[in-house]
Amino acid sequence: MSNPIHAPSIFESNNARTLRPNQVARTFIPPAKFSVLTRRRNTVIVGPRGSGKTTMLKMLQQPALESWEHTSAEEYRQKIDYSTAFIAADLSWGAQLEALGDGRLDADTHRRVGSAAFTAHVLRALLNGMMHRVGQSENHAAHPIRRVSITNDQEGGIVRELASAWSLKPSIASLSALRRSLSHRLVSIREFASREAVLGDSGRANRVAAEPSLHLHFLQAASQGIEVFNDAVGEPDGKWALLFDELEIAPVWIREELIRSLRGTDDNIMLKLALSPYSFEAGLLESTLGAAVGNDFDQISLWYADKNEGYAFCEQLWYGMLEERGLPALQPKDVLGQSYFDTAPVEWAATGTAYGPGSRLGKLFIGMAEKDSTFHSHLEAKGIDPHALHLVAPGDRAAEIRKIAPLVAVRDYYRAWASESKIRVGHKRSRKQATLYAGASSLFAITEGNPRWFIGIVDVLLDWMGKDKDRIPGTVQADELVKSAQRFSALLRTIPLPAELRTGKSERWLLSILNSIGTYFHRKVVLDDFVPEPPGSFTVDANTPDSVIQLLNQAINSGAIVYLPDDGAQVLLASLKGKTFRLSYLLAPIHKTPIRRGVSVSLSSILRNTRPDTQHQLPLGDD
Amino acid sequence: MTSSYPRLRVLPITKNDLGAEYDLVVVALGFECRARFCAESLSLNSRKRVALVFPDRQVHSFEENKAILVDRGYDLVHVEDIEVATIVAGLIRDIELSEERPFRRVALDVSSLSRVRMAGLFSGISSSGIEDSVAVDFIYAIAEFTPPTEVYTPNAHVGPVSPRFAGWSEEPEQPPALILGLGYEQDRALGAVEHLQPGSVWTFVPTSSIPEYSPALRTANSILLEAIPPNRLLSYVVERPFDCFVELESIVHGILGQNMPVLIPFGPKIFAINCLLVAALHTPHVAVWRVSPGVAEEPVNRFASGEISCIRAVFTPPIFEA
Repeated sequence: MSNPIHAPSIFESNNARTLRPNQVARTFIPPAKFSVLTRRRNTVIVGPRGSGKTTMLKMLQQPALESWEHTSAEEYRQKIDYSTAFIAADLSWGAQLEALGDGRLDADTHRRVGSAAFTAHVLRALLNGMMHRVGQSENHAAHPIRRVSITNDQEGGIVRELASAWSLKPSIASLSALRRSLSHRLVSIREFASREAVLGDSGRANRVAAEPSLHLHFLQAASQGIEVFNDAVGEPDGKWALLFDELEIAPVWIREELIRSLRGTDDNIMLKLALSPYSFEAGLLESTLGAAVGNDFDQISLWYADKNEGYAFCEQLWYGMLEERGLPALQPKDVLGQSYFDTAPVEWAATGTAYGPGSRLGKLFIGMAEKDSTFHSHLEAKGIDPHALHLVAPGDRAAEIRKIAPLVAVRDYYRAWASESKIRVGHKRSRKQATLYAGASSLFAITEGNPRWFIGIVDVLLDWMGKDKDRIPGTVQADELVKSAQRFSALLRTIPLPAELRTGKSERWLLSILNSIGTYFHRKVVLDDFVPEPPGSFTVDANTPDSVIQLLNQAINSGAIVYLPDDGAQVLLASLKGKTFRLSYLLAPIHKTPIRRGVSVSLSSILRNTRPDTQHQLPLGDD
Repeated sequence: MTSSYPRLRVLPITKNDLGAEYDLVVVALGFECRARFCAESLSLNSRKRVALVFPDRQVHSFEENKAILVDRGYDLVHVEDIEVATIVAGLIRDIELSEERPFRRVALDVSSLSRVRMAGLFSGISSSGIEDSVAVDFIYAIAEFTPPTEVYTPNAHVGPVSPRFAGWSEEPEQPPALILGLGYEQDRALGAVEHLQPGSVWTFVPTSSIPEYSPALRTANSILLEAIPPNRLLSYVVERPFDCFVELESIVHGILGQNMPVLIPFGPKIFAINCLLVAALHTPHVAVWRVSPGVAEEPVNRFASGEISCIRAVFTPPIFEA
């Protein structure tokens, strides 16, 4: 991989935000929904952390497209006939905006200085886009697109007009100097806010009125800039897409403004907005005054309710990662092995069936029927003889066998584990248990098609493999699955409580709620009487406490729970009430649950039937 | 050897350099037994002695601390976190006005201070209006080893330790560079990295004369330590904070211009002081964050080991840019 002396940590290398566009492009595998994002329309792209929102937006940037070598790259280069400006965001920047004025400004002034800073940020991004167009930002592009040539005089003309419109005074008439003047503006805005914090209210209205930078509107200013540039390069109808990343971090008034703007903006501007699934402002989209999906904007969800939907994308990522490392294009199943829940071709080869009495699955059913009277009763009721599964005719009973086989596998595995008397210590126990989830299809499902999770896990596994091994043992995979869950647990424990919950005492915090749900599902699958369709998802019913719902808002945005929409058109949620979710499969090895959706039960009933968990961390150690 | 800057100079000192006549000594009055250690064991002569009283969790050694501090001439000042800066600035101005001798020297016992209050003290000193330099001796009593608590309390705050230390970036498109001081709370630092999603990560690992801390810290941070490249794993000796300051400032200086440094000081509070000093030195381009359950955190009584760590900073107003 990288130079070992300067190798980035996994945190850096897997984070698109830290990568330049051409770096993102080097390994980008376009998911099916990327084509929707590239359309000449407003787009709202929705997904939890790590789902690829930033990556996809960055890929719309000119430097990324110009360096992209994927087989479909040229098709997209032809298709994307508009310019772009990428407006980044992160928690640190959000905190800086929040802190302007040291917390001593009135709400209106604070909003003005925050908006002014945001406007400067947007205009800097726009200038970056312009500089890409005129070839000022990259020395070499493998596949230059949409380049325009401008003379020094033309550049000077653009700069003078924009400087006038944006109240800037660049040192020289160049785009880079104009961009620097916006950096200086950011300094000035902070200084203004700091002075106002000291000066107080008296005379503030006049001081605010006298500061031109506080009265620019980011969309209007951007529109002015685009018009000036387009005219200068002879593209009066040239289209620009403003790419707003991580909008949940931006101040609320900016989010609201952008969402309202989906309804209609300047003809030359498209908006591409990246949001987390739960967003209070989603209500604006739903209201009659808001924009309509399909009419005013496209909507893209970057998660997979069904595990099979993400497999193809994971496979592409897999091959891409192998190629990046110079490894041969080995099939996932050849390297990671068959999942415990699948039937391997070899199991069919000899007899033409994977369910003979001597087969793995046959033995599983026979053994379970002998040990578990409730399972035995179920088979009896269905007219299924465990010793003769292979003789069951195609139809409902065969479908029944295929449906319950993965459940039987989990039930058997953990019942056998629980009965062992050997003592296992700490994480070693969890890692051994997690080998059940090794194997290509299970591993892919567990990553939820989330690029960051997938790359984070597979990167380490491929490091282990190197160039002299062609198979990764289940124990190695299990080890990494548990570590990934531990990293995820650390993240979930870090997310601060919503402000409304900080003063109260509660027995249930985010991880304890997730643990309660996981424990409940595990009990239903493994410990209670066998049922062919155990619960595996939950509905946030009317009896769910508001405090729990507030915590679940965090869970969905972090990816800990996955929304299962009834209506495929709705992906942004203003409220979780009445909606159905499942736990992320990343948590399946920890909660010892099957990698399947399961029927839905009300969340309040789950919480009533489970004790509050006092550990407040994922059960990574001994039971 | 000193590290110089027009408005802030940081100097190495030892325990022997403490105890000269101060103009103000500030300690914390809280539930930790070690909160009184410096007041009891060091000769901190001063015209004014103040104990900033925590309004919450007045348990464990609180009453005993209170009695001892009062007995030793400390004025008890009941103050909320948000008031610390104002109170301290006022104290300094009052002392300056009340005596012929200029206000020059402060001793701050940060052993039991919260990071919020440390930031408040910095702000208070900078906004006091004092026209001349003020030398501040930061004193930290290293605690005996206490096993990390197994009680989890959710975080109430993940963000800048105060608005003054939020930092400010002129290139917001640059992702932050995270510099962590490690502590021994399980995966606390790992969670901060996962939450902030920085462009780069540096870690400072404390070592001290208390040997039990190191294995506990390694266990609590095993996944993080495994993932950090060796050239970004730095260690520091708690008893030698000036060396740590020099290295920390060097790292930050190297990062500036490319990324926005965000410092999160878990672990020994003397590292938090170093973070605040570096941030003050490079204000407003460096942020200092805290990750904390706040007042809901279970109070754990900590006892002084007898070892002291100290560092001196000379502030020349204006300390922060206007």
